[in-house]
Amino acid sequence: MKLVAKLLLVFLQLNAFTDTAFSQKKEGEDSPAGEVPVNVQYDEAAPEESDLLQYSPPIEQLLQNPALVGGIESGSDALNKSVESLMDSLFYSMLDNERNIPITNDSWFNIGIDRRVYSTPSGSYVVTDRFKLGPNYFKELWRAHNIPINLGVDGRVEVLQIYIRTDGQRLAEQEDLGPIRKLMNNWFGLLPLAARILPPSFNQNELYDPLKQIETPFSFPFNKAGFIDMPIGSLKSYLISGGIRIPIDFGGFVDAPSRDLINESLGFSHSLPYSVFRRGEYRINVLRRSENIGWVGVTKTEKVGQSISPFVGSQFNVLQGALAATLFDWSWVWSGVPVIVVPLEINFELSTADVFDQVYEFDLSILEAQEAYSKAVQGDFSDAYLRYLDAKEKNIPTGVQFHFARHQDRNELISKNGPNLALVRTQRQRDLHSAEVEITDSDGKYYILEATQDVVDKKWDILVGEEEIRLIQTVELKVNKAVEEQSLPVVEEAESESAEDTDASISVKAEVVQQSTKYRLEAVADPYTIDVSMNIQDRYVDTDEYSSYLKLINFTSGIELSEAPSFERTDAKRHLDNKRRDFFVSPSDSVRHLHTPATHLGRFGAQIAMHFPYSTVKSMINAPDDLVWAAIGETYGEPENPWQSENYREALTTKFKWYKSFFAYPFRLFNLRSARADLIKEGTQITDALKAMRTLTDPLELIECFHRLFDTDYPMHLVRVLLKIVDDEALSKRVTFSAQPKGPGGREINGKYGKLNNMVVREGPQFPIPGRYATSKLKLSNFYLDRPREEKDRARIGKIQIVSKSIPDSVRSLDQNEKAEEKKFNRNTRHVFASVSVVHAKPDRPIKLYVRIEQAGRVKIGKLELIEEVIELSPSGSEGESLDEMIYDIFLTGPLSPFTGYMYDQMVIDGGEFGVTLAASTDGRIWSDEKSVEFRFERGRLLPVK
Amino acid sequence: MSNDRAMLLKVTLRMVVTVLAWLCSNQAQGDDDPIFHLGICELREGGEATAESISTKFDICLNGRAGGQFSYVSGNSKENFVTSYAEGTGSLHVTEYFSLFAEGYRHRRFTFDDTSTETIESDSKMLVARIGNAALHGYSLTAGKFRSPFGIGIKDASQSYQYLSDEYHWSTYDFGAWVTWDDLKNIFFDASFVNESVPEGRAEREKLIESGDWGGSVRLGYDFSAIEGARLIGSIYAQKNGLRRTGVGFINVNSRGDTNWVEFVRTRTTPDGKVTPFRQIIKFGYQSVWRSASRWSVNIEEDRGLHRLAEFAHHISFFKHAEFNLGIMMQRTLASPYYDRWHATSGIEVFL
Repeated sequence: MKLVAKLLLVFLQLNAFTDTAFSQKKEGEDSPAGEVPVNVQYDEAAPEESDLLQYSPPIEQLLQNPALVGGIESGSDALNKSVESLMDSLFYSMLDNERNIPITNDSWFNIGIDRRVYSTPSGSYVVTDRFKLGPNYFKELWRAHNIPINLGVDGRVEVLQIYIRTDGQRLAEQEDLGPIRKLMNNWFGLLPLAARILPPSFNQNELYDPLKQIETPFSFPFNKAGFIDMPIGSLKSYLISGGIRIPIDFGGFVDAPSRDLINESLGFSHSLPYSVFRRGEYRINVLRRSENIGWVGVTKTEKVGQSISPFVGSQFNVLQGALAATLFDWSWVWSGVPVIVVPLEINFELSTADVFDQVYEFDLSILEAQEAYSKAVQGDFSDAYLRYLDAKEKNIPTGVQFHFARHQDRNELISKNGPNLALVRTQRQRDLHSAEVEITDSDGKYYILEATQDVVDKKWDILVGEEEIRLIQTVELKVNKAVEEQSLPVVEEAESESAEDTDASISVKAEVVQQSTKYRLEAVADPYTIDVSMNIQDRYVDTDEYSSYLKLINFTSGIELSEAPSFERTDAKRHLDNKRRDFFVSPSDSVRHLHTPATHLGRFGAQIAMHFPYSTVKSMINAPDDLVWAAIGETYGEPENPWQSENYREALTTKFKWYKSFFAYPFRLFNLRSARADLIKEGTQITDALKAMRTLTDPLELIECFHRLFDTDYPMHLVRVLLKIVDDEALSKRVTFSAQPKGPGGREINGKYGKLNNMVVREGPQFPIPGRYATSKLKLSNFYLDRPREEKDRARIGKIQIVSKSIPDSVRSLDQNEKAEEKKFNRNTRHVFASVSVVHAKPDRPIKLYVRIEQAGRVKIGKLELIEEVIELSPSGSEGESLDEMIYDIFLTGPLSPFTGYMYDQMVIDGGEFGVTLAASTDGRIWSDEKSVEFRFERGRLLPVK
Repeated sequence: MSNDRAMLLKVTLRMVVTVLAWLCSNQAQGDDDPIFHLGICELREGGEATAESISTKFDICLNGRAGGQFSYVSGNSKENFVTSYAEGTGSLHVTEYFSLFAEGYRHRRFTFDDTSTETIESDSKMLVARIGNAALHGYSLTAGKFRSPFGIGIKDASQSYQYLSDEYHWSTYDFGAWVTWDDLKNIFFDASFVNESVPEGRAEREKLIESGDWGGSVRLGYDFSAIEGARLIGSIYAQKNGLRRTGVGFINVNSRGDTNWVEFVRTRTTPDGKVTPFRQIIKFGYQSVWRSASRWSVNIEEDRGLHRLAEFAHHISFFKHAEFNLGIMMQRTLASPYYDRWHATSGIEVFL
């Protein structure tokens, strides 16, 4: 010990000595000329009022449980596949709790509570807390040749609360909380600690406020009081569902050697369940639109179909037994971190569905509306309908408004596939359906035939989180429904009175009226049109990805994106510095000389919309086969081959290309696709569907052909082909970008990237004014989990300027008068000072500013979050003469900073690269997009990021 | 080592010192476009290199260090030892596409046991000609004498640690060829073919059937742009006589220049081709950047079932080209004969 103590003493002395005597200073380090203020002007357009559909999925889609439908759950000990990623395993699954209480050998009662968090284009999060309970019955009926044939029955009640959450809102909310609740919301301080040290993909909102989750089953607003307790913009929902299914697990067909390989060598379990099912759901959603306005929606679904769900995977418990404890007779061994590894998971469901949606609006400041609301949320809309009629026909202000009711008769094909390897996951979800739709709105009843394909591709990895590309293509046929009555002659044979009269039996003629439903295309200018929308969301984009997204948008839509900013792949100066150094690097040392990485830009989002008018769709249908094949060849990767030639298409060597598609099929299950390999298959499908449409007049047959046309694994390629065979200029096209600069690129790159936010690029004629059906769908989209409401009034950060600044002289008088002893400021030291301009701020009241300061730069494995606070600031001036944009000043470091503290100050003294994230709000509830800047601060000097 | 080689080394060192003295005087005169580059060499800013291209003239880069270190073994003074060392590297860049590299070392180790053993090793670690430059052009072909590229291979630990490290005994420098491909974005790949030999004494110590044979390695590296400064490296090394070594490593260089690395290496068979219980080494290292003339370093190595080695050291620099270091090292055997040793190490080094 003495030796260690002496060594320590020697070391400390030497350290102090060398710090003062021999410190190495680089030339020019003390020069103030090196200082560079960070000044980012967010020269972005104000968000436009969008007449497009919102793109986040509706509640029904988010919460569907194909595993349940598919009968994967083979009993109460089924694999908990809600643990989808390592972050889930390690942390988020703490709020996912499920318990099965056995009733008999074959039945159990399931009770569970879970939380899911979805990100939105605005950067905020949607939190979904769900409580569920219900009985289940599952029994093996018999077993034939190792194939179990089962019966499953379940019933379920679910309650959900869905609300928007932003980082600023989370912190602002805590100001009103008591100390105990505040501690519990933050897991007694563990949550902020974890957020400070874990990778950027860790999201505090997944775990924040666990008590709110427990409140879920008791939170449904059955009356006005419950409604008023809901945050504005939030959604509550309850569901009653039940179903019966007969799953047959064909996994028993797998031969013994393969089974041994899968089960014993790889440690995976496998199943191949085929199921026939019937399900029913009744869901009521309540949305608080504003102070007193609430929308109540009801969805009834009945579904009959079949599904198949091959599955190979397992749950591994990593670090099992790594921790253990013994206390007297009690011992505990840590079961480890559950990690789900599922190389193969597919759900494929084919069904017919009867879906009914209805939306009413209630103004709960009016008594009649309150009574009607109370009944409506319990499923009785009769009172609401009467109050609506009173308002419409008698002009009585009942406060009840009927928006629409929609009835759909759908043929659905839903599939979901992709591997999940704990650290990375890819998933494709495809929903293809055609439907006969009957809509009733305030103007009456009308009919639509609709075919839609909705494809969602998701990629997730533990480092940067999720990215999503979604493409929806829809065709709508405006039709009239006619019930035709047809009198059919029926010949009834009278029984012969005698055997001899057989040949001369008496025939009695009667007439029976038979009704049949016929659809006819409505005699309007545009009886059918196609709409395509694509949505890209990625929270972490570098220049490589940005460039590939622009190419993808151009490929799918043909829109020229010359207005969008372009970036060098890497920071030119850093790249050059590396080049100058790497020139001399010895081959034996080259391994530690890393590449200059693609520059991180921040969050990226794009919404693309295209409208194919009737004339274009018609010309698409009538396009010659050769033209279509030429477009297919070019789009699917074989521009060199003469696909436009029928001789080439019919040649035997071309027919052999079917084998490529055949052998490529298994790879699709793992989301590995080659458009080139599938060219002939896709091309044949497209041309067959278009050919069939040319001669059809019956709308039902026509919609079936569109259904076949949309049934593709390459939806973007299909859109590209359609664009190539029609008059491109007749199409309405638009792309709307959203971007949030967060990278280390400095003011130039961040400012340039910030200009992308709200940028709109248009081509072709104006989009048509939304029709009745589009309006109904827009109303329904209010129940979608998307942007925070009151978008127009949101505060917006216009400019951030970071400079280094010493404490101003004006502070002197205060410290001399009050606490002169304690506040002897060092006037020579410079501190980081931020000026933030906020648009839509209120000049007469303070603004809430969310501030997060992290160590920035290249340490991205674990971030080091230093500060995360919401502070109130009064304006120090205004930007220009208008009082709409106010300026707020704040010292981020130093004694005048509200964040000053021992640890924080030490980190600042150590210097280095820092990242500051800011968001503003006028009320603490609706927050601006977050803006981030990075800078280097060393010894009181502000320097560019290395 | 023979007297001839010792004499050769002395002459070489004198020449190097003379050249360095000349260079230093040359640099002091303010040559802003030098032929000679010392220490961590870089092309002049705004001169030969532009964002589009690098045009060079005749460049020479020299680097080297020399020093001594004392290792005090707690509780057993007979195991105390002293190391002294000199290492040098030089490269001659004839054109942008053709370079010559040389690296050499001389290590002396003296123990204070009853026999007062002195061990001296010296060799040229590398003597190669390189065509192309992977970091600039995306490809290179290197031929000559070198050590098969494997894993991360960072050697930032103290001399005492390096001597006790398992990896020290992997050293094989011999003649062969080495190709590298780099996509200049995220990926690099190299492959080598070498006539390998194991160090002197090792063949006898480990009862190998032969001391050398041809071997080869492949190595693949991937840089994560999402974790800037991070690289994942996978390597495979094989010798004809049966030795197989696979490794996965991860380096992270943070924005300040602090370097962390972790590496996992598994040796599958012994060189004589007989399967033995596998050997598995996990290495971890951390080297901070120089801050206020000081830096920290941590090195940990565990050879599963055989030994564990860890070092924690602090380095102080002075006069820009000298360093004093002080560290604590733990050495533990995990197989018979079992022993634990704690070393206090201290040394001084001069470097270019």
